Amino acid sequence: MRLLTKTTLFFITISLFVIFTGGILFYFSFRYIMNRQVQRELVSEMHQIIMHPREENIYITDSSQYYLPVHYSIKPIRSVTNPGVVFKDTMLIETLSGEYQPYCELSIETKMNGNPVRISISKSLIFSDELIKYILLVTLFLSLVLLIGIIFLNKYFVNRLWGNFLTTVDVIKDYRISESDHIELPESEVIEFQLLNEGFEKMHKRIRHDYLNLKEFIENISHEIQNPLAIIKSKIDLLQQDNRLEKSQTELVQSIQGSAIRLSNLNKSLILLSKIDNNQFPVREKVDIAKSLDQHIENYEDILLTKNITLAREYNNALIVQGDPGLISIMLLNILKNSIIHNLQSGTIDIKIQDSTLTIKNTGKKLEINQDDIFKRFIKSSSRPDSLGLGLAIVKKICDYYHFGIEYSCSDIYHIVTISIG
Amino acid sequence: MKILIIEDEPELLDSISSFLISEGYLCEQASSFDAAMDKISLYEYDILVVDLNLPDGNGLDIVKTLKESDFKGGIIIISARNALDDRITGLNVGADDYLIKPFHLPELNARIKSLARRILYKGTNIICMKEMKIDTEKRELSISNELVELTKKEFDLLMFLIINKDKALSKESIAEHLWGDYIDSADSYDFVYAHIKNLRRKLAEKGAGDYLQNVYGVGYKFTEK
Repeated sequence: MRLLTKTTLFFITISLFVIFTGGILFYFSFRYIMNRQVQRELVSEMHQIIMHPREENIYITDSSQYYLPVHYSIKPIRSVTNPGVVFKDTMLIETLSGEYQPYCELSIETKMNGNPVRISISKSLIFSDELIKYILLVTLFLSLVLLIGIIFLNKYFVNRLWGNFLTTVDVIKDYRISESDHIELPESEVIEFQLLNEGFEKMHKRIRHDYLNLKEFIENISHEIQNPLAIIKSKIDLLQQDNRLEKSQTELVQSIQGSAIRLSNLNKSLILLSKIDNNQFPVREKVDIAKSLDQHIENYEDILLTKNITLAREYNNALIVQGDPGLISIMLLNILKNSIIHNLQSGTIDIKIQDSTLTIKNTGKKLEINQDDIFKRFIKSSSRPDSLGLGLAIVKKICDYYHFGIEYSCSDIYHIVTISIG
Repeated sequence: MKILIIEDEPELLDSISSFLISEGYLCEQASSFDAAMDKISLYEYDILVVDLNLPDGNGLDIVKTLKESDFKGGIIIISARNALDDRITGLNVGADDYLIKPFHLPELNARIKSLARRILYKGTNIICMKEMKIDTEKRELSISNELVELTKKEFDLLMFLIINKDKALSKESIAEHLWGDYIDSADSYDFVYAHIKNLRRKLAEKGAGDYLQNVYGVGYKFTEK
């Protein structure tokens, strides 16, 4: 839930509560005031009647003033038992419309011309009730308009104020330590956001510094390792020429050689990965995927024959990509190498180019590793301890570098790698 | 044939020269840029093996200097830098070949031999050995004047073995020579074995002697003995 939604919901709940209880309080207090006013009028009416008694039973007074019908009656009673003024709300039939309508009735027992009488004066409350109703409605309407207005204004201001924050979030989302030397964060007048930006910039500088250090270290290590490796390899070559070596010694040399070569391949792969990271392949040339594949396949012809693998090519259209020819070539080579090495004796490889996708499908043993881990570094099946587990990681890296899509799927015997360009 | 090896790692320098000396070359060593420049100005060499990263200079400058003079020999660059543009620059300034460290010594030997054939012994594309005749230009092998059909890789394998005659070649160095990056070492044994087997069969069919020896724990050796 967005912060704005959350605050707005909170705000609406509070506002509705306030408007509701406020409305009730307002209604009752207003009603009370109106009633008091009516009662006051009734009392003054009563005084007039007592002082100037009239013949008629019912007539309308001060209708010009309030338009409120007033009924009054004077009834003789035996004696005055309750001399106080009594007010009560009642419903009386309106003579004009024949409907019951609310009235406020004042009754008093008093002596008129020496005779005990009960004077009842009732005044219609219809107008005061309607007045209350309309005032209440208008008030509610205004409150709602205010509420909605505030919600929209709030939304507008929040969006404006939080705009900077959201831009910062976008920058952080797209942030790549390997790519950004400098980060652009929006200026903000809000201190909290300034603090956030400052914090992020500081973090960026620190991480970037560490990252560059580490990168340089890896590069140096990789290059420095080449020389000792070259020495080891050359000494092994010389040692292998020595025919005075015992069988057991030859085996040791063989074992050293295997490890030296593995280390050398590992180093080569790591240098390649770090070079891709460092964006050291700026060349953008048109590369014909089919052509490049054909060259690689030609190089594997003997091996395909040895393993008795049937390779089928289906190029439905030309697939041209923009990139470094060497890097694209490494990508294709690694996929192809994988499809051959992990293939079965007398297996098949189907290569298909259709529109902008390249699919390489090969037979092979069931995957021992988790399918989702296939592109991770140093992931390899236990049956092949000598493999580096970097081949597909490099493929993935190159695909990411050029924004190609890559997918891997496998069934019981088929392994399918699909690359989609663009 | 006289070779100057320019390399700042003394151990590697030793290895290279002792392997090349055993191949019958005359080898001289230079372990710095200045030493190399001195030797070049004083003596003549047929082939130069130049490391690019020297403590007191860039090997590329040596190549440039030589190419500006009337140097007729060949130059092979050896470098720890695998950058493609380094390779292109190297070849652009006039180097004839480029080898990335770490490499197998037989590989360097093969490169030197092929360079020597190309530059020094122009027109001599024929290697004769007992009943075998190899045309390196046409990439053809004939035994007792009868053409033997070899696949591309089989021919490369035979050439590699013959160039490194009497040297024990490990399966790894053979695999690297034949396929380079195309195959990982772990898988190479079977393929090298299969190719050797095929080559042996084809040579035997045409009545050639058994020159391909197994070397225990190493690989194979081509020998006339």
